[in-house]
Amino acid sequence: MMYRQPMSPQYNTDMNRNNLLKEISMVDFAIVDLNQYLDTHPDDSDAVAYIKQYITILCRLRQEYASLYGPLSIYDACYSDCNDWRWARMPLPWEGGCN
Amino acid sequence: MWNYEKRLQFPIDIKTPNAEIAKVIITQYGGPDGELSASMRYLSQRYTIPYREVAGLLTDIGTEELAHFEMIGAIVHQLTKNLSVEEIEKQGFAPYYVDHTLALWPQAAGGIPFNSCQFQSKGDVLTDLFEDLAAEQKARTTYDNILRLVKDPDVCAPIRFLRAREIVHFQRFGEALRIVQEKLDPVNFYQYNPEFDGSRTDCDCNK
Repeated sequence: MMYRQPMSPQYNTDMNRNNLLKEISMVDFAIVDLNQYLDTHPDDSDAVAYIKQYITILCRLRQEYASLYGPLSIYDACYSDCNDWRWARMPLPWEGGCN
Repeated sequence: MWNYEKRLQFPIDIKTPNAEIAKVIITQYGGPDGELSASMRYLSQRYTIPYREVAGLLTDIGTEELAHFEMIGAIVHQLTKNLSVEEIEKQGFAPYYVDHTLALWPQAAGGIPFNSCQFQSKGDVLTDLFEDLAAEQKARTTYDNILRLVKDPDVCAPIRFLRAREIVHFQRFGEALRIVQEKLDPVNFYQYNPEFDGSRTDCDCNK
């Protein structure tokens, strides 16, 4: 899979946030699906290599998201520079729009 | 143990409210073949299953169903957001509105409340896996029925995603069934119930 360089903050627009979130959703979905496959095929070493690769990518994307827009989970808060508790002010996922 | 992520499994951004469609889709929130039933079914069945692969699969699929429960909540919420009283009346949403205003409440399309009798946790791994296979197909049919009624592409996209997941989960439960059958007596799968008789060597059913 090809991945672009981390975005610079001056392009910190809603559209970029939405695109990064979409990318996180895609990579995480691959992990969810592979994980369920591995539940019934735990010895498939190709699938194990795949899921590990996607997990590495996801960690990087989540870290990038947390530093630019706030943490998607409280455990990503260590990547956010804000002094306030950004998690409390994050948009809620059912709001629609760019969320 | 669970952790929450402030994002949906699949993006939902509905621009046009439609209470008539919300009334139909809410059935996947609290109806008999809905996501809440699915999640509670798998997360309840798993404790007594003596096979780790199967108990693990029930945990992981039961967890994904919670994310689907949230997606359906988001769809219904966005379809009913900012409705005027006139729109509520015109679109047939008044009977729901009078009890819940515009909040989410688990019920079937016909207004029947969520009930644990919508699923079973039987304590017999074969029985439960056949129930789970059937549950995935019933949910798939419900999504097929919803897709015949919905025209808005903003609503169709997440519903199609959910429908596809039912098919994948059906496949996984089929594999789990095969794993279980391979561990059972090949002459008679029903010789004993591994969830009850498994560790009881003196059991009558084992003789």
